[in-house]
Amino acid sequence: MLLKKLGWWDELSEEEKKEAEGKNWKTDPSGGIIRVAMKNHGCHPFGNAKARAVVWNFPDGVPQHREPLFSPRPDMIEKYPTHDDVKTMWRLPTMFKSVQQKNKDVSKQFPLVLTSGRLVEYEGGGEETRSNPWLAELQQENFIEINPRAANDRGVRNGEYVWVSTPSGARIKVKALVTERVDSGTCFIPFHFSGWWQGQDMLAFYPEGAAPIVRGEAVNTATTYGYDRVTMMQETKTTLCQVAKA
Amino acid sequence: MRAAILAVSLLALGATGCMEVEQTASPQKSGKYQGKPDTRPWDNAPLAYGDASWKQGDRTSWENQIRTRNLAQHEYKRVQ
Amino acid sequence: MARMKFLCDAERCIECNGCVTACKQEHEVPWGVNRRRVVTINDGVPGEKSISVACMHCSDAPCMAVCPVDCFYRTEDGVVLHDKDLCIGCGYCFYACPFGAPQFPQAGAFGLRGKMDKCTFCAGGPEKDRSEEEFKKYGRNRLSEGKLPACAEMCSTKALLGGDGDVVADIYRERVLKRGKGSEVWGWGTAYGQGKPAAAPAGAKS
Repeated sequence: MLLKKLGWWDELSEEEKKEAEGKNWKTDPSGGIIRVAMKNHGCHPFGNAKARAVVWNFPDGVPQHREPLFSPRPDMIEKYPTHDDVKTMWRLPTMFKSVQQKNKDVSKQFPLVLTSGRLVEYEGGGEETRSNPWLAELQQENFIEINPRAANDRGVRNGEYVWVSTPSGARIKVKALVTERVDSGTCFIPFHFSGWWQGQDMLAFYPEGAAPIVRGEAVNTATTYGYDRVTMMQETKTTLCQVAKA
Repeated sequence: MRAAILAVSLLALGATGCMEVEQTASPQKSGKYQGKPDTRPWDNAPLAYGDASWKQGDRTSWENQIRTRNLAQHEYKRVQ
Repeated sequence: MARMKFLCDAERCIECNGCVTACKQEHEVPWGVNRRRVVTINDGVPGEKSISVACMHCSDAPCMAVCPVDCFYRTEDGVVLHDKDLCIGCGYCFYACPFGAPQFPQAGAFGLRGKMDKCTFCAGGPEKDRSEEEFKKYGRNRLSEGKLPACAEMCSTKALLGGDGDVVADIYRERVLKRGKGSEVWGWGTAYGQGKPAAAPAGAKS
């Protein structure tokens, strides 16, 4: 307890003391430690401490865990539910809790966590880098990284095409890369590909000469509804999925 | 006796198979490698731009230039 | 006397394929021909190691020994080069090379391969240095410009070293001394701990 060592502990109010006991700057839910350090003693936080200060106009003054709308753990939804639905959020009705409650048992059908990320060869959506032969040659197809155990349960072998389906109803066709880099409950798909739509190459729809050299299934076809109300960012990073042999 | 001569001559014949044979068409000449012509790198004039500086045809100065470039890969030295 | 060498520090290589791309860009190498490539061992498992491989410019090059038309030659600074005008594309060098360096641009009927292409240590070929013909056949001649191979000079982690063998050895030796002992001090073991792959977390579904 740094505050006690500094002799500032008694500047907290009684209620704050109760909540702040055994807590620190980052974990004190009352915000009293932050108030004493900043207001009374003029300490200016930076780095992580700054991010942990109480933000009065956010839904969570101090960040706290909330289960995603599509969660693999129904018990965690009970414990850490998401926000209530918002009637108007910048004039748009936005659903949070109702979607989460409706999809509480979605993990029975879609047991794998799907996360998306980057490859070193490509940039962003990859449209530019996939049009560059020197870079495009290095990764020529979109793939899903899947644990050997999960792949074995589904009869999927390395290098085979698989269908990845998600709660949104979309299916994407990618190649399986069986690797221990991901654990048996997780899959990974890079997001730098586009040009396929649910198993079909859209080459014919590109204006002549405009198609990138390498095309693949875009992972964002498959990601599900979700919205971060603070950053106003859609959920295209992670969701749940099921993998089946194509 | 004849058998011994035969054996010795066969041995000698066999031994020639183990001999090191010159594998290139012709020995190395300056500016010509194994009979193939190629300009040596230091026989070129340095580029008109950049920091390249050596005298045309002077191998030592070219090697010094390469050494400088080489040491640029040495990050402990580079930050000094 | 300079003796040109490559050295790849497997403790540092991060498999970014920058050397591969630099090579392709510098020499405008066509699709499917890889003068340099990055090989990863134990990919996805703790302790994985990557190493960048190209022609190692052997002192006693097997490709030179097997070539039926004797198209290879070694320059005074130890770079193994070949003459594409002599090459008949037989592919013997490909079988002889322990590093898979010789590349063939074509695959067609009757095993047609085309002229062999390989890493030149950025030293071009028999044509006039820095000429158009040399560039078309062998790529850029950086040694004649007083530069070292593009792959080594741009390596972001300085895993790939290229140049005079003595200098490269000195750089590497100093690096190993700085690390403490051997090659482990900076490597995977320090960052992630020596040990077995973590067991699947309890409750993980598949």
